Amino acid sequence: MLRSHRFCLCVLCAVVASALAVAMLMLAPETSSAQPPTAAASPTVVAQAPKGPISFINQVAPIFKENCFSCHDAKKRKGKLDMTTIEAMLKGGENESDDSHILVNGKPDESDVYKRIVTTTARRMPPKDAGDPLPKDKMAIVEQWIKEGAKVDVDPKADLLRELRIRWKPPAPQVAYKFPVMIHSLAFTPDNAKLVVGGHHELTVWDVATGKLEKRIATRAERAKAMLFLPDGKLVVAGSRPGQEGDVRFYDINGGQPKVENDVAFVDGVNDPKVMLAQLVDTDDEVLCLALSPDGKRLAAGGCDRLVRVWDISEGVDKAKLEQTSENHADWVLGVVFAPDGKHMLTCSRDKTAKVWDLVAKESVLTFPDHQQSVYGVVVSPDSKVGFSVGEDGQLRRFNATGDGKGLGATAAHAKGALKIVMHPKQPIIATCGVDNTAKIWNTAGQATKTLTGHTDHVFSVAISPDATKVASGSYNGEVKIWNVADGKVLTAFNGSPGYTPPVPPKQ
Amino acid sequence: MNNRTTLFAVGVILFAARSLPAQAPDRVAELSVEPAAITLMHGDDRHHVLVSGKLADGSYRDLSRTVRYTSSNPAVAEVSLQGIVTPKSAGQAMIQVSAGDANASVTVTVKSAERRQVSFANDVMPILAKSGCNSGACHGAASGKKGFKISLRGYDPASDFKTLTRGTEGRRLNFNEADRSLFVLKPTGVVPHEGGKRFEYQSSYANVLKRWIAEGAGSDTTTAPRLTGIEVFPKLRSFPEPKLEQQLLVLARYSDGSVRDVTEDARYLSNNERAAEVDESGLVKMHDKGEAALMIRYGEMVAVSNLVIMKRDPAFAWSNPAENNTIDKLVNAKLKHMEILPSELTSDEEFVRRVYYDVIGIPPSPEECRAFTADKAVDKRAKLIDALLDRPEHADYWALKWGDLLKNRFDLLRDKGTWGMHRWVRDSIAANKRFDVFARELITADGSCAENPPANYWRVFTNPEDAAEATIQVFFGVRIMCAKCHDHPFEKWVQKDYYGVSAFFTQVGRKTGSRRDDMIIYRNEVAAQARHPTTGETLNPKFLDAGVVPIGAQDDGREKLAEWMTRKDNPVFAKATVNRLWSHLFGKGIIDPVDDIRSSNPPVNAPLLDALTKDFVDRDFDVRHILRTMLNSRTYQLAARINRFNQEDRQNFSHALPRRLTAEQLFDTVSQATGIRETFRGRIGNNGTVSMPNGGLRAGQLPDRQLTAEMLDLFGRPRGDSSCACERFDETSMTHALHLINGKSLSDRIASPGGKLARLLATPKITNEQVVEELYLLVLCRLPKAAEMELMLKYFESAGDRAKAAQDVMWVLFNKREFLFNY
Repeated sequence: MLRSHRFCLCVLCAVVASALAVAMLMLAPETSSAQPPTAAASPTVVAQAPKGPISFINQVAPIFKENCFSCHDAKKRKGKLDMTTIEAMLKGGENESDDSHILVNGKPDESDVYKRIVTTTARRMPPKDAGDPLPKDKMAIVEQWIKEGAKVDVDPKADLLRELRIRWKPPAPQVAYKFPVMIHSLAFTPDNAKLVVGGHHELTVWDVATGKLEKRIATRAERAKAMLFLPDGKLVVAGSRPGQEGDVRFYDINGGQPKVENDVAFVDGVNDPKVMLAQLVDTDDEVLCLALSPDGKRLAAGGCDRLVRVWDISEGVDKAKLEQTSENHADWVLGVVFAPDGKHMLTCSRDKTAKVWDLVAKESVLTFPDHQQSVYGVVVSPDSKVGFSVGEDGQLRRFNATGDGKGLGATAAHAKGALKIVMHPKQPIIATCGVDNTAKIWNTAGQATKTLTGHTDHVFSVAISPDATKVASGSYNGEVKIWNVADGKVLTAFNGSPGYTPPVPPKQ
Repeated sequence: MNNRTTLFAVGVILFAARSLPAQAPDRVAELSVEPAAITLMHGDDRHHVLVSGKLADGSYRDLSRTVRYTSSNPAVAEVSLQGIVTPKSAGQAMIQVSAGDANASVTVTVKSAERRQVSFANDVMPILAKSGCNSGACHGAASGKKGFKISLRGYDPASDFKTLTRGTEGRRLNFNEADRSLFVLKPTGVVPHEGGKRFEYQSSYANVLKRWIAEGAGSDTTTAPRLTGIEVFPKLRSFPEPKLEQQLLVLARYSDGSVRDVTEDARYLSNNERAAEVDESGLVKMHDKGEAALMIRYGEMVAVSNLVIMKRDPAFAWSNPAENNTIDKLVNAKLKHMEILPSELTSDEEFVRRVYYDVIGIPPSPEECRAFTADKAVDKRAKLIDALLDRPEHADYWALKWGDLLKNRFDLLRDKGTWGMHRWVRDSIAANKRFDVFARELITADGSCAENPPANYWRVFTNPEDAAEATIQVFFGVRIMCAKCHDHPFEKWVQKDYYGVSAFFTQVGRKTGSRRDDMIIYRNEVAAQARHPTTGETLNPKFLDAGVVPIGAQDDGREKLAEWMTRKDNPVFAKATVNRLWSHLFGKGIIDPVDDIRSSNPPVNAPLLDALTKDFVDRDFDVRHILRTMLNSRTYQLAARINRFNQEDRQNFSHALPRRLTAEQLFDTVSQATGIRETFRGRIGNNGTVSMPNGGLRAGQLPDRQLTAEMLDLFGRPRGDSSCACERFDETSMTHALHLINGKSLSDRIASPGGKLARLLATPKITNEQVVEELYLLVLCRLPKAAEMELMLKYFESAGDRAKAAQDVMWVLFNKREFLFNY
């Protein structure tokens, strides 16, 4: 009896307790659970209806690219929607169904691709936290395009980013540089006489002995991120337009009919097939590094897409064959080099590792994680046994490149970041450069033999001449210096930005 | 043609409606313009004008968007329809403002209409902050985003400059085609950006970035005029009704004396979005009655605009309640202004229970209840307050509160240390030690912890950072821990402030004493200095919000700090302390939370806090005097019952806020009412044994935070893990509701043959009525109401077994909602 009575009270109490809980909630400090009333539709100028038939690729695709692709691309596929090809987009995403279509020809108000950009609800695209709604004139373009029947003037299977990219035209070369160009890469010609320097949408050729500008080769690429000469004298360039494209192209720097102005020869490396011989690849973002196998038959390139592509170029640059693709890093590939043994390739990455790749088995064999920060560059000893890497930690590290991958020692190379490392293919010389405004020459025991001082900003690039007597270095502010390996003295110095006059006094 | 067109048309109409004067201009009695004068330094400067109209009823409206603007000299300065002034050539002009018959004007001085070079520090960095680029969720995250990392909210401009220009091999800049730099293309979405489009490619922000690059992307982080402060208009304004709007104006001041309108670039946050919401352009929309503090952040500076939104109710009439002391005068002044009517005074029964719990932590006994209600003296409440403040339980109860904050913990301090610290605190309270002396003794304590118990503080906080955080939070009510790793998000505190304070504690040395479990605290004879973790700079000790004091090897950093903290003219120490005392008695601080004092968390009643602070200082930091003043105020003694005009008030102390009894209060009440005490275990984990005095302890007398008793933890007793008052939670949970309802320990205590109820029932000739009365007094400290008595007596009759019936009644009383609350 007592028990049942208590049970009764229990129920009562539970009621009291829940009422209490409600009361407590009501007493609790106000949380903004209720959304404030949304503001009245904001005043906007009425957009004029766009004129004439809409071109999908020229007018609509850029809107998709700028507002949709960062989430709805083939990799992220947010909401299971990929908009980077027409074919993929038409499949719709998880929000599309039998009653809800991504695109209904002629009917914008039944097409999600339009409805979602004009709605003022939380379903609006791009979402609120990613910015404001599309401007009205852009909405009108999409609307008009659908009304006109959503005609597509590209291959439905074509990657729209690429379609937009190939329609892009590089700017006309500038005569004199208003600002210095960052020197991302340098290459000595095989005869040691000239230095090729990456410019702004061009390559420039300078006389090593005098520092005189001799030739300018216009390029599609905004920047040359890596360069190397093939045994037959052709130049390979990893080109880039940051965030937008990357490529690998072959040039004949002596080809074409130069136009000479003020003693400088100009050639067209964009359109002239005698200058720009072939293109190997084009990518969505920068290609950052190149390597040639010691036998000259294979070429490798790595970049922001995390891939390292290896081509067989033994049949000539126009008959290059993609031989293998290594997807071995979790972030940008910053450096690549072939081991002289012909069987291995060393790579390094912003994923904070250097790795060794077996070219025969096509698999990763070891990972060197000691930098614990981005690894900017990697080379390997002539016996293929010792890897040398530099990175954001400022260290030059040596590691066992064949066996266990263990570290063999580290030397402070460039405080706050060692950016590049190169090694002569025959001579035991290594060169590095870094954010401490210096370049350094090293022996293969990992000892610095010369510190090359005189740059006034971060040194972005370094190269060794084929005869191993000279080192060239280039910096953020356009300075190029050519040094004598024997004594570390400057032989030639110039600014690699044609026509540029440095301000006096120099800006900070 | 379709919904969209309709919607659009509505939008246009609304816009048209908004562009008309919101109030009929003939009601505008007077116009005023802020700021008083405008100086434009260069061609890119823009300046808003803030126009306020005083209406016939004396209230103000923001008319910035509705008045007519004209420039006396458009060749010098132009003004847009929206009141934005732009420079045209050097010289002076007047901007005339008119609405109906009311006029006002502001002088504009144009120093130069030439464009100047874009400043990285003062133009580019604010864009990164305003656009959220350097927020914790984006590139300000500890590891950045997508390989791009900048300092959180821009605390390290020099490093951000390196990253933006030279990072990732200069990828973000394209000098020779500045407009095509990734640094412009990404935030504008031209190149797909996972963080979305932060601003348009043609916007003013994008144009600043383009220009900065086109001008060579230089850094002026060391040479640019330094931001010295920001000012917001209006700082304080009250509105007679909701549904109004107010534009804010934010001015930034620089070390070269220049002033800049940064309204568009500052960031805004409202502490009460229900009352007032603020958008990214500084436009405030008032939704409902209430008070809102709008925090404005620009660079590392913070400013606050306080807005009060009223809702006039014609039925409101001030009742002129009695005022016992200054507290009531100041509280009522605010209430009257806000049209809030305070509740009535507590009944004697309510008061006696409340004051016992608040002052000594245990309820009055039935005898004490009866004696107090029977007392006819007019000053009986004041007398009771005096008597309670003198009782030893007062020291017990408040030692417990301080033990929470000082982290008096057995695992850290062992038996002797825990007891030593507890007794020292308790004795200090019992003797009503001056609070400045109390703080000084603690902060400067040296020597053997066994001989000098406050030295145990340095055993609890074992490194300079922990000591700085705890000391500042406990005695200043300021949370500086955020600034350990980055600038404080809601305050001006930066890493220099944090490490400046911790530098005072770098001399503290600790070594093992000769006695078991003892430790010796001593001063290392080295200069007191700390290292800035980002810049590596060596920092001298710096008082919070005050000067730097180099402290050499021969000086004592802690002495210096304690001396400065407890000075009578220190603006924070006394204020934080009285605020903490207030919150203990009123359930909420005048600044709340009590240990989160910052300019963006203003007091709800500044004159009240100032008056109490002054009184505390004038009375030489006499804690008991302040408690007595608060307890004797009518405000303290107001009932929890609400009326039509204060039902929504939670912050102005117009009625008592019911508070859950603390774990110790609940526990000790159960023990006292049932007559069965808990025997606390003296052993804790593997840490050994705590000695217990003969006769045991009440829960409220336990010296440390870890002596376990299931019930105490269930009711939210803190673990003593931090110095934050927030650790003691007071929400009711289903767990402890069920514990009360079903808990065996409670029913066992009630039914115990040696308990109070058994003894009560054994009283000769005791009637059922007397039993019920006594049980009500024991558990709820009040007599039953007639209906309650009737119900209980009926139950006694129906139950048959008198003892069981009495047990059931007592159990029911423990489970009443009012038992759980101090109301």
